[in-house]
Amino acid sequence: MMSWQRMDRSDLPAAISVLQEKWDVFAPVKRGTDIRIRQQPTDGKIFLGQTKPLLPLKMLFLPEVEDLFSFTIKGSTSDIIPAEPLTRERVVFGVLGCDIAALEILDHVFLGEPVDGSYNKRREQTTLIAIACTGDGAECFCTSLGINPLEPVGADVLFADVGNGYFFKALSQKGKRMTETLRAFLKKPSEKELTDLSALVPGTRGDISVDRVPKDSDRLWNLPIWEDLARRCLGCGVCTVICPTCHCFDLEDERRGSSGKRFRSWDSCMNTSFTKMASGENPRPTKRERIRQRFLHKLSYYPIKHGLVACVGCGRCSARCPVGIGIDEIIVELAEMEG
Amino acid sequence: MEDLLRKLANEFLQRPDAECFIGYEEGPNGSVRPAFIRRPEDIHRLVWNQKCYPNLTAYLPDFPKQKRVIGITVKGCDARALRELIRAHQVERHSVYVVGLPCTGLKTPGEDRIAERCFGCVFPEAFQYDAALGPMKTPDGLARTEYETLDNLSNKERREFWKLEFEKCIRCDACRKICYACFCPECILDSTQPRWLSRRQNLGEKLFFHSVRALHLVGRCIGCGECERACPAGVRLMLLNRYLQKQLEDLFGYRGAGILEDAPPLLTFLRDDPDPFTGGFE
Repeated sequence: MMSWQRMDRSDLPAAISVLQEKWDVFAPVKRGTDIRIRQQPTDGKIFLGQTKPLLPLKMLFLPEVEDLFSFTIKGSTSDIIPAEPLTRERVVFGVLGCDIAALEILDHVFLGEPVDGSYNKRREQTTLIAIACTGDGAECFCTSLGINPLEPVGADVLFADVGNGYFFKALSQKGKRMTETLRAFLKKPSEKELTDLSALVPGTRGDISVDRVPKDSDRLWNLPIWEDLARRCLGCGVCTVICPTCHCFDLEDERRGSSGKRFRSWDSCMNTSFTKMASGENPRPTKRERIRQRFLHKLSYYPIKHGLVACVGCGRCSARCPVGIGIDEIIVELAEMEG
Repeated sequence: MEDLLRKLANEFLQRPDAECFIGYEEGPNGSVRPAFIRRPEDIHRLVWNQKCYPNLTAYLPDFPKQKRVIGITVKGCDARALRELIRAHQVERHSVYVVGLPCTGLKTPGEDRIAERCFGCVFPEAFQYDAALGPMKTPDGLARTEYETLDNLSNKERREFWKLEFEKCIRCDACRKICYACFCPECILDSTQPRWLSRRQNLGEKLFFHSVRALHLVGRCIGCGECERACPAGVRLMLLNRYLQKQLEDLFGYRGAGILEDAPPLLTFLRDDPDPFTGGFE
């Protein structure tokens, strides 16, 4: 059983420098009100708190845009040079339980056969330092999804910001390697501090009845709710871009003359073009079909295939939807259908 | 005032040609969101307060042009959008029942001060409303048109400013989709053959996206500020929109969309154009 170790707050910059000798270090950075995960060092202040970065942790594993390979066409053959997904191992500071839980959802897709090489390499070579989060933001409902934000499964190190110190606890072998690297900064916490650490309790919004949503999509397919939502939905993609579990992507070749690159980029099922075929036919012609796809993928298709709901209750989509569409509200409404 | 709103909505929904009534209702965590009321028993959901941000006229082109009538609540700024939509043949005047909301200025989200977007409130009276919850006029103190500008920055500083702003963009399209004036059935930014806009997330693509958006809106933007509110990254889009509007005012004396009957200057051709097009036709 690994235990808590204490670091003085003032030691953090020095500790990050030490980590940088072995790893590329990433952390949430706050500029104005904008919080993003960025590589260190960067201008802006490292933000170690419970406010979620706008773009979720998935961006480090399935980047917004990623080159897959470059090619040169020579007559009837071509030279293909695969892109290198990662040059150094990475540590990510200050990630939240919801975002880590979302990686498990991505793992089923990208680590199932056929394994996605670049995703796999990034997963293997990244150490995650999770913040012990109480998950009680206005939009949060991760505890409804069975997530313990105080000690998320999948984290390598647990980090807590309590009293006047920072506290670390290794949760895996990868995590142990990291805390050992930092051992010059770490000491034993006092009894009082240990009591304070054990007094952290997760938020109470565990009442969203996800389990009661029927998984059988036939029963959900023709509900009037999709038409109602489609009327209000703008058809923008903010919900999908900031969702930690949305993972649909597009592939595109960029070619100049006989050489070019193939890259993949995030795509969104809310885009009209998402299902548009070369013939011009679109099997999801209106917002009704598109919004139904978004919610049934999370609440029905994915759970049937992989055994868990593809939502982690981070609430980013509800908080950022310009017209107030909230997945929590929809979950409750679908669950109530069951009576 | 909400009682009157619900009474008007109720009366409207009794009409045999009524399709639905678009207003506002309570949303998650104390927010307000658009509501589409079809049945008289749902009129209690309608609210009117200083958090009613969305410009509901943006939904009107979604409805097929038909004989049925849509009821809609509009603030003064929204009414100018509606006027422009009618001028651009996107909405037929006889197919909307328009209830004016006598707005005294919206609140900055999460704060107790009037939203920046509400300063420079022009001509809420410019529309022929079918009904209104009170007198439609510019509220006291909101007529000022002095906005924050980047005029005192050098070109280099301005470039740096926009670089940082556009770097924040996550290409979610919320600014484009929430805009009442973005009603093209096919947008150049969605075209794949040819592909004008790549999915690459570099600054060049972001800059291109926002330049196209802003330039296509010149003279059609009513300054409602919905794009800036919808932006999850906090990009200062209104600085750009207002700057362009100011240029139109200085060059053509054009005060903004939906105020007079005139089409926006960039959609108009005049032989006595103030720009002589040096070397052009006599």
